[in-house]
Amino acid sequence: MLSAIVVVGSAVTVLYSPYPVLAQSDTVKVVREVSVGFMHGHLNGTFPGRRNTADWSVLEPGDVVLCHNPGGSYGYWTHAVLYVGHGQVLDANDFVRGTVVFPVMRYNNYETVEVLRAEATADKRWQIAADARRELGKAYDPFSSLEDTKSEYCSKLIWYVYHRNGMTLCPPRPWLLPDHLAQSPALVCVGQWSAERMARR
Amino acid sequence: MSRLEIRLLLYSYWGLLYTSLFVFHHPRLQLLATALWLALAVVTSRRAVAAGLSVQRLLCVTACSQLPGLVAASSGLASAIANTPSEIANGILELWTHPFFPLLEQLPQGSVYGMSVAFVTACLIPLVCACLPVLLGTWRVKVVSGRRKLAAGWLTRRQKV
Repeated sequence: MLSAIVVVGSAVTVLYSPYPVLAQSDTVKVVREVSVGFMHGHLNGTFPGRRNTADWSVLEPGDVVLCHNPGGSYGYWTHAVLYVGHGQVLDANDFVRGTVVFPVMRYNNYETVEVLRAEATADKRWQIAADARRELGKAYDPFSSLEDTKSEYCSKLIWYVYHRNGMTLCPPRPWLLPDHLAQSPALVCVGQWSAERMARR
Repeated sequence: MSRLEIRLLLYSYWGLLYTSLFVFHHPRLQLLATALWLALAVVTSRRAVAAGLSVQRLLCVTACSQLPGLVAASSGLASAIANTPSEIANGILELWTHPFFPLLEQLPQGSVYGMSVAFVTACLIPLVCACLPVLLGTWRVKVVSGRRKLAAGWLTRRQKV
């Protein structure tokens, strides 16, 4: 009897899924890619051993830093962090420690990095960077929805902090990836650096 | 205990994971699915004990059903203590404990030996999931059988009188 209730309950919850079929198929595509990467033993990609030559002096509070490593399983950009000033970035990629701040130099380990800046006044970006520190210590959950304000993952953290301050970087999705931030019309590229060659736009 | 019930114990958690990931926009539905799974596990455990399965064997079955989580939790915790976090172990643990995330999110944002409270609690979840159905499924059965023994003893004494 109880097993029947569980089966019916599961069916009902599946039918009550909040997103339309197209959004779900997008999620399914991402889940498939991540699963394949996971089976090959990598998620965020592997550090190449060569350090990128990023010039961090260009950073301003509120800037988004996208990071790429080869072999990443969910798109070209495998990680995203938010610069909050004083040489520190806010990072939500660690299940062990939750949402933490790290020195920006740490991200020289990635093969390629790109700095994006929001099309907003400097005051607004400073305000967003200050507000982002409220997320410190929140749990890391890569399967959390955008509506769930109690846990974060890297790209959701950035999207959510900007959204809370009145800027929507890209349309909400069931699973927001760094690649989606890279395509945001509200962000402009400040510079891109890689381990092989230094290219600044 | 029938094979069907053993399979139910082994595979029901996979069903819970699937449901939890599909309804990740609704924490309350996640909690409901988790509560239903726990009820199912307890009822199955009770039926198994009532059918004569030893507690040790039942614990073995529930531990087998939580084996991926137990392995991921132990290796994730060991690698975190050694300060070399394992991406794969932590990834499996995140996936495995996802049905409990609405509860984990309610925990205080502190740290224990440099690890977040949520992570440490997540490491304990597979262990709790293996032991709790056995504990809840057997304690009442033991009490009932104890009472029966008492009753049997009392009747014997009375008959003697």
